Amino acid sequence: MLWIALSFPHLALDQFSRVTPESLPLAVTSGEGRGERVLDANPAAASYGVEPGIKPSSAYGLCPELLIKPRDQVQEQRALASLADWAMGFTSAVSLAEQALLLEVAGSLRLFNGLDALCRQLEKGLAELGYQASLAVAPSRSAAELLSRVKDGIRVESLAELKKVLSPVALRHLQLDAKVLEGLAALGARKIGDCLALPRAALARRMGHQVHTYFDRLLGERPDPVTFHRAAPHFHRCLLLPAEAETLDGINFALRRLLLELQGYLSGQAASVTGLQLGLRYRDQRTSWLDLQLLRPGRDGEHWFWLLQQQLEQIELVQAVTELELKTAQIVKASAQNLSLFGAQRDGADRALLLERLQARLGVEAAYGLAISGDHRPEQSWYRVAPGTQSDIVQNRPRPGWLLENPERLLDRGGSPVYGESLELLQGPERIESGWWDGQDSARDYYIARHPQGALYWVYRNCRDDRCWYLQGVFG
Amino acid sequence: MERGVVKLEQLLQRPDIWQANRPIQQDDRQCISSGYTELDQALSGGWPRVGLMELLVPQQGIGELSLLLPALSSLSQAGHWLAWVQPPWVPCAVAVQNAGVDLSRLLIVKTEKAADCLWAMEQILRSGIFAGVLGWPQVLSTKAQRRLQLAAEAGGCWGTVFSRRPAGAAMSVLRLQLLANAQHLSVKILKARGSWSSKSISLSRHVVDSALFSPFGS
Repeated sequence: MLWIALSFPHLALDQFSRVTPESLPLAVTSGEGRGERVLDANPAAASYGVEPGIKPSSAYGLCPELLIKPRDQVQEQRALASLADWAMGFTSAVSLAEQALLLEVAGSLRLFNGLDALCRQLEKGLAELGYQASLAVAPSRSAAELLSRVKDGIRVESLAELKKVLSPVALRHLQLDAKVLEGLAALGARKIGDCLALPRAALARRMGHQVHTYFDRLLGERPDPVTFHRAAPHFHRCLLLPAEAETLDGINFALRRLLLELQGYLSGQAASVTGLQLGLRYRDQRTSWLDLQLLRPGRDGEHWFWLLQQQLEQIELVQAVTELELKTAQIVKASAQNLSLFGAQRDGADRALLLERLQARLGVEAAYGLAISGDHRPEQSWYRVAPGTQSDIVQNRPRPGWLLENPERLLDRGGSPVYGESLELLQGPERIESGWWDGQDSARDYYIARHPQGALYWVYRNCRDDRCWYLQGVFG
Repeated sequence: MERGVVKLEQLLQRPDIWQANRPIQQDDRQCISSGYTELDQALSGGWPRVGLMELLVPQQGIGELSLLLPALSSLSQAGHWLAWVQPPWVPCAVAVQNAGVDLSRLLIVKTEKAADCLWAMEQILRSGIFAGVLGWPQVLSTKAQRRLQLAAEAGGCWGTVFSRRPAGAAMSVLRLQLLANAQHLSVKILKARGSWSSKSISLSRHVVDSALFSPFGS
């Protein structure tokens, strides 16, 4: 068993600082009314002298542009749960503690190439999500949690070293009742090493059984059962922007973080998603939704960010945006795919990505392939399909390279059509008479005609109604 | 300072001096045969396999598509993908298929704005999955040409843009002017990278029109 503990000493502040730029001074307060005091401040605010413990009014005096937010403990719990979802990408055994996460990673070491690499990835991921964390590794759960609160970066890999590492730690870090801690201090113990040196049975009789079990669990001598976290089946996150965003830049920062969380959640579930919905809530509580459909299930946060950017650039922000909401429609469990030795499959995947990009910016109808239908009428002889669709129908007739959307009426001069100048009929007539079944019955004589300046046109003459010349195609 | 006098003949022997009267021989991998022998000879091989080509046509429909169809068809039969961006009219699927282009590997992109057309062309050229791209942008500045040329080089793709008149200096690999009359289609090389010729080739109309009149390669 090897436990990694991630404790978040600045969780209250990180909720807000992860979605605001670093240069903006930010402070979080706790308490109410007269007793409200600054709990935590970001480095930009600290440089002005804003420290934990001062009153908000003093803080404003030190830094006029300071943004002060009251602590939101409900939000903090939700954040911890979503961090647990993200951490499930590294191991399936994740447990929540107070302002901390505990990961049991003995089974993941080989996949992540060793403890160092795993710790580095955890730290990098948390930095990208915007949380400050303190990491510790220990063979027992309680010890890992305790060491993560003491200092960042303590690593103990075997039980034998554990006692040695724990000994110099001060008594106040122990998670015991205040009365018990006072009792231990009264006995003359200043560090954990002193407590461990005392005879255990006598200590248990004097301080109570819970001290005995606590120290046993700390040293890994007694089993320490925990309940493991289970990820929610759906992903639904709301991110409150601390400062209202009137431009796209204000939203992008937060959006990126949200998408990273989704990516982490999906990798924890070994799943991918086929569609996303992004909601922008405005000041007057209305929400406008952006829908993003993907051609293939995917898990790539950067790609979604790019696609959403294209959609966001098209809309106009009529009001300031106060909150972002992200939810996913369906989660698809990823199935293992065989990689092909040659590049054909990879090209298909690249093509799908390119089509997604084109459709995101230009619209779903903008990129298409062609297919031939069996109809003889030229305007019905083709239809749009998804690019790459095979079609077997062949029409072996001379046709122009281009068709006009609406046939253009031409004048008649001595039996020949006129398009600028008189056209010379070269080949024809080809009689196309069809369409009695859908009301667009037509009987036309098609000719290939040459313009004196060289171009070839495809013209027809109506056999029935008006017996006029029309231009329908151009041989380009 | 004294400099040695060098004879002109000695200078001309040096390999690092480019001489305009020596034609550049392109090898087969770098060109696509246009399907017309005189054109292949004038272009030392054919259309450029990688890079942007500009065709200046005074009026759409004088035969520019028929000029390119043999090459497009050979690319398509070899299994490559083609894309047409913002075509001036509706492409006739029957004619395109009869000319030898496989419809299951043809992508048509319709855009509204000129900026979107250039953007789509750039994305497709750069992607590396397409072998040939034809585009009809409304406006084409020198800067846009340069971007498309770089995108074509990055993606290893042959791109062609059709425009009415030249816009500034040519940033493309090849710039051709097409003129037509009832008997001939003349192709004038305004700029060809690596060569100095400004030849004009006259192709008989019958030869050009046969790309669409009868299926190519059958």
